[in-house]
Amino acid sequence: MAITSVITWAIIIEFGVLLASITILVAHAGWLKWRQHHYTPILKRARGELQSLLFAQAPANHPTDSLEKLPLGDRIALIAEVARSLAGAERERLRSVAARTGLVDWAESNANSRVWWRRLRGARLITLLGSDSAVMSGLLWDKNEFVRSQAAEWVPDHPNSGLVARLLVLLNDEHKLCRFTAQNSLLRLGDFATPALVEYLSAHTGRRVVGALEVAAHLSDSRLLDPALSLCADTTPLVRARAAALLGALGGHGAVGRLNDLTKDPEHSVREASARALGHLSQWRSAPQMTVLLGDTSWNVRRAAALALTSLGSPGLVALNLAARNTDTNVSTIARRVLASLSAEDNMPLGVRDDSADHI
Amino acid sequence: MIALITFEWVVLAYFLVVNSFYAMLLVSAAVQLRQHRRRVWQESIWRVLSSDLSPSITVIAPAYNESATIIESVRSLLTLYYPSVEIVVVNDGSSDDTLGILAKEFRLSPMDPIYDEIIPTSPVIGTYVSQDHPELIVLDKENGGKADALNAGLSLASGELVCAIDADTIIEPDALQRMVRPFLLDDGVLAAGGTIRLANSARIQRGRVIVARTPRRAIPGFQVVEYLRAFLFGRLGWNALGGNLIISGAFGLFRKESLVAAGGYAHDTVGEDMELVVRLRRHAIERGEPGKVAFVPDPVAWTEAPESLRVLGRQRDRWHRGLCDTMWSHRKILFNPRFGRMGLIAYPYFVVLELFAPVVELLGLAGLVAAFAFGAVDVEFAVLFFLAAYAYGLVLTVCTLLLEEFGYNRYEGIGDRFFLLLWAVLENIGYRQLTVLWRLQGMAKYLRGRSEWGNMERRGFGAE
Repeated sequence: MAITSVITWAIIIEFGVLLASITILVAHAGWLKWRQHHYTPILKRARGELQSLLFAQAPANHPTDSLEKLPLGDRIALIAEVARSLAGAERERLRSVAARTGLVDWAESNANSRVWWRRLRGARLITLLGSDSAVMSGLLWDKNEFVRSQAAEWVPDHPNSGLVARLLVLLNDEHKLCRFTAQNSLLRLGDFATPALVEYLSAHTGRRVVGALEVAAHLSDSRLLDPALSLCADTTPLVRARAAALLGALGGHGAVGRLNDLTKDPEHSVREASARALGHLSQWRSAPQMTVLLGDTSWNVRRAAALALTSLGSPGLVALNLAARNTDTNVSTIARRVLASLSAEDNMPLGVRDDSADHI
Repeated sequence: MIALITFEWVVLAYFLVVNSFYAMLLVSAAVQLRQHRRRVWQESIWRVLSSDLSPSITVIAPAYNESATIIESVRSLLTLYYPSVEIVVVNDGSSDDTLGILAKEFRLSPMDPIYDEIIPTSPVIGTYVSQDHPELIVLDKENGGKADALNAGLSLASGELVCAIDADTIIEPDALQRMVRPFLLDDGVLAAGGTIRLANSARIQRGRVIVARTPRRAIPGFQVVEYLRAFLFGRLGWNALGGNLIISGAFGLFRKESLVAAGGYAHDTVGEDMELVVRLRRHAIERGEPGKVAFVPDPVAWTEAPESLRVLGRQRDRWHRGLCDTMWSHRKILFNPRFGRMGLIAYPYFVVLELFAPVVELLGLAGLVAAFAFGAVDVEFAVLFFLAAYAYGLVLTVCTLLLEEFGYNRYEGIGDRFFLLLWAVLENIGYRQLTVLWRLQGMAKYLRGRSEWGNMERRGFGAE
């Protein structure tokens, strides 16, 4: 029967595939075993060479025979493993070792490839080594989001104003990974990026400044005060909330007044952010505003206001005790809960119930 | 007679459809794995994924009578590499000394956190914080079931993302860094699942799996092969097809906001992990959002598989009841174009090829026996068909073992690989048929309206 012969052929093919698969499995296992046996001593010597070159002040022409004998993948893995924990002169020495063993050329060549994952590998290795590379700047405009993101990660090691400007543009990239990496890189740049960040926040409004505001809140540089104050009036609630968080991190002239104004914002997220910010600033003058917020319609706002009052010292405690007797159950409930938690203050976990702006 | 023969042809067609789908999933999984490995090659997860800007995570671990494994599990949670993590262990009215062991080991003291009980649960008796590890909170409550415990933890959680795990799960140290990736790639991701491996026979030190080993006993051995298939082949394959409808309750990461909006975990089902994901996606799509669920093959969590047939049977019975319940509860999704690939591909797959699979297998076998009895079957054909089916299943499994070999190679010993192959070969001779019976049992119980969990007996990690 035709169907019987079809099934017979199917069985033959299946068993053939099975045999091939098992052979590959066994062969790969054997190969790994051989590899481990063969390369483990070489790897050990290569680690020794690397250690001498990096830490024992061996001369620059110290042999790297074992490193060069390692397969490319293992060599890269070893260099990468070490690179992550090096900085300064040691990292520079590692770069020269990588150059001697052909890895820098390999990385540059891959970074220029037409295939995205090769470009990514090249960019990753260049970033790991902290090398200065002309090709990396160009990768900030790469069509592949992973390559673009990797280039953004490289920038803090070789910053210049042009690259910082590109990072600010990447804050609004269509791909979230690029936006996130750009934010992280700006954060790592710190003081170097602050003037550009100030200029960016002063010149833009709306959703496009949200990412920049999040970075700014972590930098907490006083130069960011003016744009923060200005963005508190933005038409986008998310921007106002982020600006409030930034003011909470900065403090400064005008911050408390502006935050007090924001406690009357129609959006609960903005009111919550301003309550948290005022809590960070611990300004007793905001106690009346916080007391009003204890009766807010939003639980999160009530909580933030109550916790803010606990940071205001005596005026805050007085306000909470009065609020505990309020006829409005929302007000009295939250006040009592916070007062009860204060009585177990020694057991309060550090940072666990933290109302930092990060959680807004 | 004609009806019998026709039915046998229907079963054959079903077999072809199922296995074609599996082949498609396998190819998809291989492509996905290669792409993923390329993307994460030498990735500096410390620098980027451990940023101050990374989303905060609360790990929720419900615990019920976990005295044998709770210390190891919590220790593994405390050593997770992540900048901003909070751990909430929910003691769900354990009748053993789970809370006492925790209190002694981690020096717990009472605390009074201020949080809103977003989702009502059974009463909370007390909340404690560790004096040695301030990020560890223990919530003690009256027994209400796993879903109830998770909801209690959800209310208390302060993280933007929540990671739900089983208390007897050991998570790899960098698992959260890897699991957070999908959320950094796409705002539309609601949840991410990770790979679960079985720790039976593994060498464990200080809450970490040091060496993975294939169990030398058949029952856990078969399950190791099943889990590899389910995660490396099944879930990874579904990533590209947009059809991940389940995230293992042993290890999953969710946006807290989406979880709360969808109403948290459901009480009235024993398949809360699948039901939750389906409900999350449905809720998101109905609101006009993408509702994506991602599977990350990298992060590894380890759990203990049942080592006795009795406990395993209860587990599979419960899983199938959960599947029945979820498929019925959300039947509106089936073939509904509004739900895109979930409605047109994933949901029909789970209904036809997972839910009804044991029924078809049983009827197919019964039909075959009847056909033999009536002399209506060509013996040669039947034997060849059985061989073809068996060999095909084995090919899929061995290909999965190849994915593991070339992708992760966690089973390093020659003996381990030998036993993986052995269990793959023997799996379809008896064990698979048992799972069919258990699933049918689960289906029957569901139709009769039974919803209990049963007791899981644990040997403890590292026990041989």
